[in-house]
Amino acid sequence: MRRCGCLLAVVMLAGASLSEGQKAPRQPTPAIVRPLATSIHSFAVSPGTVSFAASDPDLGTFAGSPATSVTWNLTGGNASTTWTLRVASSGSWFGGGSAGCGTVPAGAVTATCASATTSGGASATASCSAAGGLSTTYRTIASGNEGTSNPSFTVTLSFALLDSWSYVANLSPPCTLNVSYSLNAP
Amino acid sequence: MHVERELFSERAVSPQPGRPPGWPLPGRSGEVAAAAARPLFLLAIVILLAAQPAAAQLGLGLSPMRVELAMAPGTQYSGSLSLSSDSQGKVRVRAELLDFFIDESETPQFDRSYPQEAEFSCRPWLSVNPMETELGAGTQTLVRYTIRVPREATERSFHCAAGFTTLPPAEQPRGMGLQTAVRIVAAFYVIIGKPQAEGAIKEIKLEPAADPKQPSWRAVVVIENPSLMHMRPAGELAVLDASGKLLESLKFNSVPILPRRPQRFLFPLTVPVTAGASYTLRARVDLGLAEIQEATVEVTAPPAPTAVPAQ
Repeated sequence: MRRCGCLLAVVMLAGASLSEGQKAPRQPTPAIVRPLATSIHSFAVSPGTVSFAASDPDLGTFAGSPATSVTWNLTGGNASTTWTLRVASSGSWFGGGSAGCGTVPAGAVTATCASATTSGGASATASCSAAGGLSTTYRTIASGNEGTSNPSFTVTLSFALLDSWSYVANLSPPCTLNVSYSLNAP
Repeated sequence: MHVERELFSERAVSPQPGRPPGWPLPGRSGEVAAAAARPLFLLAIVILLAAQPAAAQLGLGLSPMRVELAMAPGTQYSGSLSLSSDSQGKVRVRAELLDFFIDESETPQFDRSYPQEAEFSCRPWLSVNPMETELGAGTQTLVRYTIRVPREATERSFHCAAGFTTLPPAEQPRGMGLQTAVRIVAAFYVIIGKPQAEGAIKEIKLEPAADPKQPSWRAVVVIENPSLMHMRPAGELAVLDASGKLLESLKFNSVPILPRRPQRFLFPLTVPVTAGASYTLRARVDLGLAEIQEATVEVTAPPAPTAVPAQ
């Protein structure tokens, strides 16, 4: 809350200085500056790395380890405004240096929301969306309402790799895929 | 570090989206040939976490997440966003200027450019400084933004966004696995002049939800926004049975209805729906206009959705 108050003060001061500047034609003032003041704090993902121990493609799917936890707090939210947590890969294929791991598609990894919970606050909600393969297009994995009174949110995710004999992986450098989590409340 | 940065930036310049420049571009047949020539299986690769320190938590904070500005053509405004790090070590953060829209599943879609949003996008007017910065653990910085409205801008509401994404630090462990980044987005709405909002409920229906694991139903309300001003609905949808008994009442999600488009609102139903039975769907919605709109339709549930076999 304290941080939020500081921000409002900054915005108001900026507005005030602009009001004075309105007399000067170079810096006209907007008629209204309205920060819709929802703030996100501690949007955190842990751990930073998930690993697959894929030993035999005949076994099919391999779970990533460990599970991923995404947490955040919201302040100044609106009871019914919707937040959306999404996930995407930065590329369509696993990378791994010049030799690459270009036969392993990002879509072989499925992201599944195991749970989406909220605590504290009022009117905040959180629910999981359907599981799906990773791609460079963000897909929603959980969503809900912002709520009021500073709610906290936790979404637990798991990843699974659907292995295939056609996937060629390097030992060194190893294969990695960058995954990005995006939170927004437009 | 260098490699990972390329992975994050190549999307805009790679001739094949998602594939880093310089990588071979084999067709599937080439891959199959390669597969025939080598022992091809994905061997147990990852002991990495055991061999290296546990990967650190990555975290960001942003305030505010939405800014609405009423401006005049030819003016500019500068403000700031507060960006904080909740990571356990130093983290680099890169800014992106984004277009966005809300898709038919009510999901906001952000990207560097959506041509269909061009006439309502404030992205070309938005600048952010710094575009890339390094944050220490627990630190906070101000990111300044400026909106410069061109003189020829016409009366309407515009929208755009600024996204802030962490870059993987060089010391992160590597392995057959996933490396994490987080992105948070601030949305901007710039209103030029005083465009009048108008909108109406266009359609209400019942449809099966495409959930492969749990067949279910949802009500859908389509609101048409023919105006040049975005709006946010507030209201609820009631589901009544043939006798008029209220079965379920669900609130509208407060996603924006952007200008000049229909927007679908989805209401996943928790009450069981019987195929062939009649239901009444009644929507009451405040679009921020001088009235509360109400629309009621009677629907007969079509045949029940069936589970989609897992692939």
